[in-house]
Amino acid sequence: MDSTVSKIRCRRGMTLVGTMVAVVILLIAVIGTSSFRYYSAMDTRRADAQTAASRIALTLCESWRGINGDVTYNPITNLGTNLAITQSTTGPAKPSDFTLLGSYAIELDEIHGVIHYATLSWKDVQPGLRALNVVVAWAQRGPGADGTENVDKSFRLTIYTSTI
Amino acid sequence: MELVITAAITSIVALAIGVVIVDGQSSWNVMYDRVNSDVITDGYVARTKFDAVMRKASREKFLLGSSGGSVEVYYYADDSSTVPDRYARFYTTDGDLNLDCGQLNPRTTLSVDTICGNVSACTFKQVGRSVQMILTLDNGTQTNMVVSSAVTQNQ
Repeated sequence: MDSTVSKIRCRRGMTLVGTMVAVVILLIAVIGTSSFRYYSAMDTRRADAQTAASRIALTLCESWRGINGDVTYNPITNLGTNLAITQSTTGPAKPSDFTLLGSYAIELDEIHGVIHYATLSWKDVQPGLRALNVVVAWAQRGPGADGTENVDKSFRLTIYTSTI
Repeated sequence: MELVITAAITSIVALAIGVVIVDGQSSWNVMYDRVNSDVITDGYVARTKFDAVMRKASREKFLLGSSGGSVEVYYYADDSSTVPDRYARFYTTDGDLNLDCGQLNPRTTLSVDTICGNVSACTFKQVGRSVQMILTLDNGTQTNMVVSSAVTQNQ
């Protein structure tokens, strides 16, 4: 009987300190993984928004070019039911020597919560040849209080069309 | 007593870590699907194919089907063609977006390709010389709407 008690007392087990150290190591690993996933998700969202911006710019340009760059072109009439386009009082700046057509706020379905702001402008390069410019901007860090205060990224596209 | 305290603390921490891991994995799956699911990648394919076919099409004419359910454009087979001698027709059937290509005079189908599946709606519209495709893809868990506009520009 005495020898059995003596054997039990001699065994070394896990202490509270040892367990807590293991937990801390595990926590560090989990936090590291979470950080990786957070930045992956954020970068994906940014890439998504940039892809959407290029798609919006190309769609607007091609639609506008379809009517030879007419200065009465209205994207709300032509695309509004599909792209959720509304007139906007603010928008990205146009090139200095171009004539403003209008600024618009655009929301794509699959880019939840990201609103793109587009400014359309045009310039007659020579008789019969017109340059159409579309600047699409969006807020990478979220829209902010007034919707446009965090707009910090933009995509610009200029195409040429015959006006004849 | 020490064992009970250790077990309680470990259980709480393990539970918290488990919740974080499950939530993280769930968020990761959602994010991954938003970028790589079939309706998203199919949307890119459909848009690229639509743009490519429209851009090589003749500006002379194109035909929109009833209610914009299809669009047919005409293009030149090669450099030796003096008139558009090929046609390409986008249409939907059984939830697929198909591209039917063939020759004119006599009209013969050369190929029918399925561009993408999971099509819940597809409409073609005309704006001047440009053709718009409004394509909605739905796989039951995710929806993707593709709006594309391309000008038929060959002469």
